Amino acid sequence: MSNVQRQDLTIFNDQSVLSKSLFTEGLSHLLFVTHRLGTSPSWLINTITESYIYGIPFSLNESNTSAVNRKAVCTKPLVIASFIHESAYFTSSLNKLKIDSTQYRILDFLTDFALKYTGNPKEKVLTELINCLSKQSGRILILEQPELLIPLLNITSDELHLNFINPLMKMFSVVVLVSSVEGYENTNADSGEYQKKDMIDMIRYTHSCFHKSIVLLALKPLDTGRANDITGTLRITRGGASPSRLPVHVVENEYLFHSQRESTKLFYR
Amino acid sequence: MSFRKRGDVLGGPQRGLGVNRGISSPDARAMRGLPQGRGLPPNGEMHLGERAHPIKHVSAGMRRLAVNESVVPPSSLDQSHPGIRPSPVSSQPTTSTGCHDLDKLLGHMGLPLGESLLIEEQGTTEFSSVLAKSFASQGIVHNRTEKSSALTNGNTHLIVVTLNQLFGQELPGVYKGSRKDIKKSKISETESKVTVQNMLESTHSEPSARQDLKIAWRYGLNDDKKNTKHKESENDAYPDYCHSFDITSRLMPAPNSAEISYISSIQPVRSILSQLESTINKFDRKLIRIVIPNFLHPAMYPPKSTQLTELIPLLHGIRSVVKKYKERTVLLCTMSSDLFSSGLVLPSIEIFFDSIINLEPFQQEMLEFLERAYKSQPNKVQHGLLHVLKLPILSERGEMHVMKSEWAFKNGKKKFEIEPWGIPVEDTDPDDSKHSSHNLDSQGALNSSGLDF
Amino acid sequence: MASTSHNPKILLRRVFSLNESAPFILCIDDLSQAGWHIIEEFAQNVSQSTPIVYVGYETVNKPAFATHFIEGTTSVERLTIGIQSYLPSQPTTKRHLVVIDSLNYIPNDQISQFISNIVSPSVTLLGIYHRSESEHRPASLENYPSSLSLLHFMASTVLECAPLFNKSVDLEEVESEIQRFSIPRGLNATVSKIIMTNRRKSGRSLVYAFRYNSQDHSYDQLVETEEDQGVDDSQVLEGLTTFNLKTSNKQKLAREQVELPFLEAQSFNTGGAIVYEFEKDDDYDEEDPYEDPF
Repeated sequence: MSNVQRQDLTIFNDQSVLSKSLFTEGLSHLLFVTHRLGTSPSWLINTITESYIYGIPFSLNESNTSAVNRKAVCTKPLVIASFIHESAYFTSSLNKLKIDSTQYRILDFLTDFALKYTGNPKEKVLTELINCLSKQSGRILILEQPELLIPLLNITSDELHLNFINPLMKMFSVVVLVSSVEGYENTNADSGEYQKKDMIDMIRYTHSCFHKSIVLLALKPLDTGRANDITGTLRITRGGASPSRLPVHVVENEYLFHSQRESTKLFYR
Repeated sequence: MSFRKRGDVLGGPQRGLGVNRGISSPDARAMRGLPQGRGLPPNGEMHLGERAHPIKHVSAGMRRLAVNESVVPPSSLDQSHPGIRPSPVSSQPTTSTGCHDLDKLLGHMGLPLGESLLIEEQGTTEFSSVLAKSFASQGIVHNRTEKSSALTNGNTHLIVVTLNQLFGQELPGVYKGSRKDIKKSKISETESKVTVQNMLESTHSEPSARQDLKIAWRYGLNDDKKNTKHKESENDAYPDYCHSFDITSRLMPAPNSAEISYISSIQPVRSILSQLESTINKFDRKLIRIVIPNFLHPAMYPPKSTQLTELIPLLHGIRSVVKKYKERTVLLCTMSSDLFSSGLVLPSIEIFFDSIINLEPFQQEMLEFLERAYKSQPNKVQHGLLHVLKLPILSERGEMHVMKSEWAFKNGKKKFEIEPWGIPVEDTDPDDSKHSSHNLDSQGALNSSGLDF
Repeated sequence: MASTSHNPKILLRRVFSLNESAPFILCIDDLSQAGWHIIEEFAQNVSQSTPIVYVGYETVNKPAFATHFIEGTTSVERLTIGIQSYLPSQPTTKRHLVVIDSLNYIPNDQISQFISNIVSPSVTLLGIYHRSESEHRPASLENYPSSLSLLHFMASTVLECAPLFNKSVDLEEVESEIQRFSIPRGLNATVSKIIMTNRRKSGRSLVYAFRYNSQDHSYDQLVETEEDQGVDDSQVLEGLTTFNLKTSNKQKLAREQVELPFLEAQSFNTGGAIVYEFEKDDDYDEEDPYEDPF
């Protein structure tokens, strides 16, 4: 693969990963990242983080690892909140990329979460989480696996969307939702086949995310299984939200990517 | 064979000659027999090292002997925990799972601290509990390694989340060699075992070495001199890192309350979690090995514990604890995947583990075929396929490590072995070939069904 | 009215501009073609003076065309009150449009109540329903129709969104990918298909399909050509083998003339008997005991 040309990641037609026009006061946009077993999204989270802070994803493709020309272009910090990873997980990987730690905040909703919150009234917990996030006064939020709140607090997908994700969208110009779709299976809803409650909530959750999102970034392994020089595919497709308030549009694309030793390279499919 | 087995005693956790020889030839056959052209090279490296032909091992044995003598007093490792070494991949501190082959499979020569391993098992067999018990035993053995030294309180503590309070008494003891070996070692108490073994080894292994060379040479196995050397030296540097366990024996004396703690699995999530955390705090400065054997087993967990609203808070909490004390905690969990093959239970559980393997024991048909194929070498018969779903740290970083039907396992008295899987080819009498070709087909189907899974 | 039914394109335009009397317009979409462009088409076509109340479950951005914006809540009562506060209490001649970006959030047992509370002669409700989104159904409501059937039953006009594929696309493949939430490229495009079901006053439905371009707001009727299938059949078989798999016209004709057994002949419950009538060609041997058909 070494002789194959590496590709820059572009999501919007202004050649950007995160277009500047996404950050319009009073409007909010959602990006939906899905992943599966075998393709952890950590590199994509790093890429989005870098793109926001420096305007360009430096570490991708090892294109420019020198920290010389780096100048933060953002005015407000980026917030990462995760329900599955502790904060050290992010700080260590972002430190390795030499990202200015003043530019981001990390909220750890893994450590002690279950011990602290299980059994508490769900409305109270959600309000507390929202308050916690609003204090960060960030512009972009990367929210990892909020769907875990459904079983954690015993709420429905609708409650999660209306009482948690929607309020967050009002606080941040851009919300990047990162969710696992491993196990998702929606056999035709009108076939009348019995679906378990958990699955219904998962379907409703992902559907709502789709219809809210301006773009879908789907990571998945190759259908053929493991390969030595390819980790999986990143497919960029339009989401279900109206793009009419956005001057740019999504460039649909499918990349092959290869993650190895904490660096990721992109190729065209 | 008995001579070579003795090699195992001396080699400690390492593979003896006999086993090595055993592996190289089926592998070679396996490569020929592989249906989809899925060769070994991508993942072979780990194993290639040991597949070097015996001649090298003889010399390796010599080397080992030399170094062993110089390292004899284990107290020289007093400063550090005997069960911790840096991962060759990420240099993170790593501890052994109690199974040498599993350590290698995980890519870090063990399970890095702060990481969790889930072992799923299809069917009703108990292979995963062998691994769970070796994992537990290994912790106890580490704890007892430094008894004589300054650290009188031990260095490791085991936490078992189970209803079975007898878990600690069922742990396997360290493998002491075959019965003959033990007898012989008593007789030759005064003699240096190593010398005897080496002499025997060198005289007896040469013909087989030449035999193997044909195949080994063809597949370039000779080129692994460096690897072998490297491995040897690593094992010398960490002599008490990993042991072999004899599943027919018992760990004596059984672990006491200072070594093992039990947490009942039928409590509310909150109390399980707080007990877990307080136990970890109670044994501060110790390496904590958490074992959750037979997770969600219907006899040990109430029915409602399979509801995601119960299950997820528990796993979320356990993950939180493991990560919170990541510099001295590892977690191993085993469960049946057949009971939860449909729905979201299994995918939801898998989210919370850093590494996952799945054991798929062979069906009767397949075992019969393997027994026929390895008629002359019954100890080569594998017991099932091992699928890798996630590897510690590496998967989290975004690397793809789902490997289905690439490995096979076999469980022996002495150890649980994991080797590259390949379909053996029968080169026996034509009478059998009819059967075998038929079986090959069914096997191919089995193999591909494993892929689909 | 009568004349519109003859020109589907004009009918669709009348629907978009709310000139067709339709108190409840249902827009059905799914992951392959989201329905937002239908909403925007309505906003484009209705007269400027029409107040539009937008209920946003799936967006927090107030659309440019919306006069009022209401955030979606979990409480249907609160939502109803919220919407009604923007609607005239007395019937007026001025039309109001209420847009709900997803009816999926309204529980199955409250949805018909909710719709009848909003709809009135001067208020048109336009709601999107995501077809493939499953819903929670308590065991006590097992026999109650699903939300989709309810909405379909209540709607005066149904607009279904679907992607417009060219022939090379394997529909089954796309379907199975979507079922695993792996959305193929090329969906949710500007050019799509709308299937309109328009209910006449009598309740009779007229169904038309359109090719719709959301960029230039044009729509043309799609006429499903039946001969496509016939052509396909013979084309598929062509060149497959050296055998002749085709059916000639004569063979087709012969096939059509085969008389299929009557359905009545297959009902066995009426009993029956074997009736043997001797015909002159029958070779009947009286001495053979086995020959006797009775």
